[in-house]
Amino acid sequence: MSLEERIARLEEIVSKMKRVKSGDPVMPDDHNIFVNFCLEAIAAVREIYTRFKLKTGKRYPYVEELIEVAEFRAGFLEKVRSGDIVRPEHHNTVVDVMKPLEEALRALDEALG
Amino acid sequence: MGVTALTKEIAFIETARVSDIASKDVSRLHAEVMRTTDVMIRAYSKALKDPAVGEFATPEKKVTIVRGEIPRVSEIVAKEILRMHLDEIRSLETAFRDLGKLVSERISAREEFFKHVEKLLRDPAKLMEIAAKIQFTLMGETVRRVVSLTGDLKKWSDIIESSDYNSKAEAARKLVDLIKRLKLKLEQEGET
Repeated sequence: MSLEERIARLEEIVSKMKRVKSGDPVMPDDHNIFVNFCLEAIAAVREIYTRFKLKTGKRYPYVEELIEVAEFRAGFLEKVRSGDIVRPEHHNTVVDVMKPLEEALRALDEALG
Repeated sequence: MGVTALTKEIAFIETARVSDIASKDVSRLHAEVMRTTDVMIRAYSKALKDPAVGEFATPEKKVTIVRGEIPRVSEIVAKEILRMHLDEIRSLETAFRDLGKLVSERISAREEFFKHVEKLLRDPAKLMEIAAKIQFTLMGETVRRVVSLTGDLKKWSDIIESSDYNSKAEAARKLVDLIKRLKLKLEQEGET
């Protein structure tokens, strides 16, 4: 899948993320959508880094490490089914995957000026 | 409420510290009171034991009539001083009993608290979870990691709130925007 397709997919996922308010029931999709997002985002960031290497001819071990951390953490992502409880671990894993992705993107952004 | 729980912990430590300082101050005050009382008692005793009648009782002054009265006065004074002293001791005892109770309550509460802290220290991951709750931003959004603890520590746990979901979604949107911006930058990089 190309980067453009991945971005389109990410935009589609993000558009489905609704705004919730206190007391709203938590549906399995409310969590699963973030799992899908994380997996797509990792692939997109990896693709961005590949393009970055091709364009600049530079390697950033720090960024590689961050992507690997995100991939490793993504291994703990779990989807929930109807009737399952969305546990704090589910929420925390999503946050933990997104954080290194953010760091990697910021590092690349800074490198590009 | 993660932050609230942590604020409570900090407030508790502060309270324990203030209580420590207060205990020390009260002990110091008590020592001073005791010292003063000692000096006073010694001075009174001396005054009463010394020729109670002082110069008035000297034979030259012929104080035979006075002699009977002065001891009576000094007796009253002595009784009064003793009563005051006993009152003071009694009130101090009450104060100390209350203080002791308060301190022992604080100590047992603190012990209970430190037991939890000790457990947490043995589990750095859990400690990090709590620490991360203080400040954790994702794409500029304040995002919480929700603490889940079990057993005795369950009371420190919290739940996923709607704001956690919303800030996570907002961070996701910003992450996509950043990916798009970088893609654009890379394209421009190729053109230049």
